[in-house]
Amino acid sequence: MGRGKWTAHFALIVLFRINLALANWMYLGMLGASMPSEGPKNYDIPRSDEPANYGTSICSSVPGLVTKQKNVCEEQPSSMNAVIVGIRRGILECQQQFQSERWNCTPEGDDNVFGYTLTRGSRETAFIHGILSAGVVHGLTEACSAGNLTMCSCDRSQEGLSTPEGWKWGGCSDNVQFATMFARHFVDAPEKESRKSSRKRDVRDMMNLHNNNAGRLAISRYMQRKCRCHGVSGSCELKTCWKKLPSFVEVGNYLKRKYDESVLISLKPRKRLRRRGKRKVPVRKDDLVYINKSPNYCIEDPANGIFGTSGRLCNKTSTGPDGCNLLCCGRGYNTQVVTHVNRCHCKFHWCCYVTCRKCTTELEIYTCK
Amino acid sequence: MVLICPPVLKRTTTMTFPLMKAGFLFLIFCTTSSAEMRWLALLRQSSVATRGAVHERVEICNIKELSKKQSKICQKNLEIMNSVRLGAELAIQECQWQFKSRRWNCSTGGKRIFGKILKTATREAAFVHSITAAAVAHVVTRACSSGQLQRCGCDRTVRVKPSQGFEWSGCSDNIAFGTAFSKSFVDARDLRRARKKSKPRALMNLHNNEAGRKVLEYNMKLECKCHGVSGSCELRTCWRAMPAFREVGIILKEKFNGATEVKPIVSGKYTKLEPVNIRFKHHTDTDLVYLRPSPNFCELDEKTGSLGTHGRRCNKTSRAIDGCELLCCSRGYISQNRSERERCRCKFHWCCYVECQSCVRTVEINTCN
Repeated sequence: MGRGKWTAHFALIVLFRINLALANWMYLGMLGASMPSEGPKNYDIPRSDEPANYGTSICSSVPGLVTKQKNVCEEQPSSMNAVIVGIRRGILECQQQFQSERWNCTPEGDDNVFGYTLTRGSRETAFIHGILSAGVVHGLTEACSAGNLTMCSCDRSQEGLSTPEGWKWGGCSDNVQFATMFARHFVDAPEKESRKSSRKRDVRDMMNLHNNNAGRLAISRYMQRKCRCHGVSGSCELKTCWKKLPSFVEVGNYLKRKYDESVLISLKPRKRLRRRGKRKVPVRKDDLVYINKSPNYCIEDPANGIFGTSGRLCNKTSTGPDGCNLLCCGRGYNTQVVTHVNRCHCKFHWCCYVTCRKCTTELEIYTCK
Repeated sequence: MVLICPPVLKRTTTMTFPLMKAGFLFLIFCTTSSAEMRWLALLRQSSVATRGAVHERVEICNIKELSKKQSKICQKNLEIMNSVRLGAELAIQECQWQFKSRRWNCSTGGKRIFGKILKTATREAAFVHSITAAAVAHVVTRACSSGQLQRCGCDRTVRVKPSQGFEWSGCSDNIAFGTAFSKSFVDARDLRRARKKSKPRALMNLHNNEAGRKVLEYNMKLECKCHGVSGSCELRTCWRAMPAFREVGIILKEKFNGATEVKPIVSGKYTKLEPVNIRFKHHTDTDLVYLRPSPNFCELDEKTGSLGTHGRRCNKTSRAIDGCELLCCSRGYISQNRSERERCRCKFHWCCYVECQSCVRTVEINTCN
């Protein structure tokens, strides 16, 4: 009995390790992130869009890149910067979208970034895959248009073509097709490799691939058309238009809606994903899918990478997810009084200085017990 | 060590000397039980009615659960005792309403009315104390206003200064009498313990009792009636009225959510309760305080008085504490469809009967595993 338990434990650990390694390309987004001094709760992910040039050295130093990814990295080192920017954008947007929820998209460990959440196979896993894959497309497209990459530039496929409405395609259309293709190559590599090696359909791999694709689709769905008029004194007799990337917030909002209505799929690996329960309603390509129910994320559980909501800021009067009632899971809240010192009653004196008075305002903040 | 305290011992006065010593030791251990608001045993006395011969009525003042002081107050204020009993009933009713969808649902029954939950100095105990003290004050005050008691009536003191275009008139609720009585009766046992040994638990109870009464007091309302021609407000008389008890319950429930964990600090002769974490706001006179964190109330636990949540009905769609996930402590739940027959499409026929059809409605009932 005891021995059996240990073997089971061991098997679990092995399984865990393998799975953790699956998504470690996400670690690229954490490069240069400053680790917090107390607790793992707030990684300071660099917000600047221009990371240092890492060169080919990162290809071997980032843990967990699969062979295909390493190859891409070595062949196209300049594209890695765009990928890194994209992943960061994804993580930051994820944190923005989930800032008031119990699970708030906090990276969990040193090199497995979202390791625990990714092994869970829950809606959160789906969202991370969706938003990071969308982020990579976004970052790459932007880099293509900016001319930072040698392998791609603006999308010129339609340039010069006239439309029935009487305007012409022109300017620099964002090259989302190329970026999507590239991202698919890079982001989907681990799942495709594991599928190849096991030669079996694994529903987890299928889930990740589906969600990666849903994230990429989100970008193309929100492509906009921008136009400029060139007629006499800016009249619109002559007009050229081009395709433009959506702002990433828009994509984040869309994927969050998709997260809210994400689809529970059947565990049986078939060629096409099927809903659990309502089998006849097909799973759409742009749906986020998941296989396991989420835990409640209320109580700290280091073994499962759950931080719990104790100590989180909550809103006493809100009835939404950020309200103390929902966020604190019924444990109640603590009240703190913080004083804000602001400069106020400022006066301008001739010439040229400003004198201000200091005003203190007392604010009550609430944190979950 | 568990000591079962024979309540008889406390009132035995004819002990011999060596026995007295043992009894004294016993008393020290046994005083813990006074945290349980033993006077609630009045609820079991059906004869608290104001009718019946005086000697019969005095009987209830001699029940062993009342302290010496309480039984003295009881004998002096026999006519008020029925209000005290009704107050306890009101408190339980309100407590159960406020906590109906929480893991601890203020269930009562058994020898101790509230079970063992009052034994530990938790938030739940704090709430029970505050709501009971407030309810006793509420019911006694109500009885004063309605003229049921000889010792008190309406509050005439508010009439002294006429102000802002109205005249004090009508029957202002005599909150001063109600709270004073609640204080002397409900606080009696803890007051003695606080004075003699300044026990932290007694201090906590006293604070919470007072918080309940203060909430009632601070939420008194001005009620007015207009007496002008055809109800115009030229002539207006006003009086001070108590809030509905539901309102007090809601406020105290919010205080329960934001209760402060405190610890006893001894300074010279006195013991004070101070917040455990000094960064947190110091409690005000209407805030609830507690000494020990609550258990999670998930499983049956004889020690803490937790009944567990097996078999409780839960809300499938809620993410708050009433939702199946949290209420059932992640154990899962059973969904059952039950058909309920109800009367519908009712028609009134002249004169005078109503004809209804009966409809069957299916209701989904979710029960915790």
